[in-house]
Amino acid sequence: MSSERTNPSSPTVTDGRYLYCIVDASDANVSQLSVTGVDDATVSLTTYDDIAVVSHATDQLYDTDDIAQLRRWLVAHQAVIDEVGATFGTPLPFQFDVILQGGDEAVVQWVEANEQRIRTALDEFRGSWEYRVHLKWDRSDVESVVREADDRLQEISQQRAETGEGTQFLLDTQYEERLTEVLETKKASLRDRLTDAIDETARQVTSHTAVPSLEGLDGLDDDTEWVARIAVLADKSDETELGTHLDDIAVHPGVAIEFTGPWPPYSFTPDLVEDS
Amino acid sequence: MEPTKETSHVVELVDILLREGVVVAADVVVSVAEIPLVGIQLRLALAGMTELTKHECFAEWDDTIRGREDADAI
Repeated sequence: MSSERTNPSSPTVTDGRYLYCIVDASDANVSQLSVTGVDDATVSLTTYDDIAVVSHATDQLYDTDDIAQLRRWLVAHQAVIDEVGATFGTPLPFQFDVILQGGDEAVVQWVEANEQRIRTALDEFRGSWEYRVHLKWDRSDVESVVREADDRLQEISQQRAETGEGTQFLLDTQYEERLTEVLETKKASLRDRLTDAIDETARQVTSHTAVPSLEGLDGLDDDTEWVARIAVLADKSDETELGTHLDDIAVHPGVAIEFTGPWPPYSFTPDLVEDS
Repeated sequence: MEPTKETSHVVELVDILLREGVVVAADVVVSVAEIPLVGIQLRLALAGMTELTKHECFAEWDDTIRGREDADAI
């Protein structure tokens, strides 16, 4: 079932090709894919030597204010890349909604113009996948531990208990400042430990902003805070070892780790920018 | 722990697909999610994206992924 695109003002595209990913097709004798693409489009392979670009034909952009529509598009986009990855190995993934004009010929010309960079990237990522490691903590749980463990906080608490109302406000301020300082130090320490743990297994690591760029999507409760969001490029065979290292971090009180993947190497793809 | 691709990771999917991956810059390109051409309505829509997690589509995708992994394990 094809769904209606909800932006009638979107410019039309002349013989467009919506791009999903690029793969090395030399080891797989596959000319067709069983998965359907965005809007149930028929997905096809366009090849240049042993480099294959997975795409579908389109005459419009994909833009919408309909959440359900966007959801279906994103899932379909990822599903195609997952299927291609399972068939051909690690793909070079495109962002959502990257469209070339000019049909298969334009796709081939683009690959030809970027052939060396594409081959280098395919070689570099062969057998490797991206894993996402998100570290969050429950602030109230961590605070409980910190309050017990920090001598200065204990000292301020003791002073507060022994002084009059006028001094308490000052001590409360000192307490909160010290608590913030200790929590920030602990966050930095956790990030360092996480990075050290990951470095043992990763081929490449890159840190994203601690809080997702799309605010309001995280669904965190009031006490939960982001500490780190890291993308890891690792061999599939090292996945279990990576998870074991993460277990060592996850045992800290109040700390939770989300370990997702394998994704195609979204965070590590090189610039494939045609000289213009 | 083992890596997962679950419905609750919808933030990952959105964040990744709209912001990362290969971007083509050439005369023949008409659409890149990063530029306003596509983003106007799409970004307005993102304000309500928490609704995404309530839909079954991600669960179906998750099942597909898991099914494939189970098959690989056999």
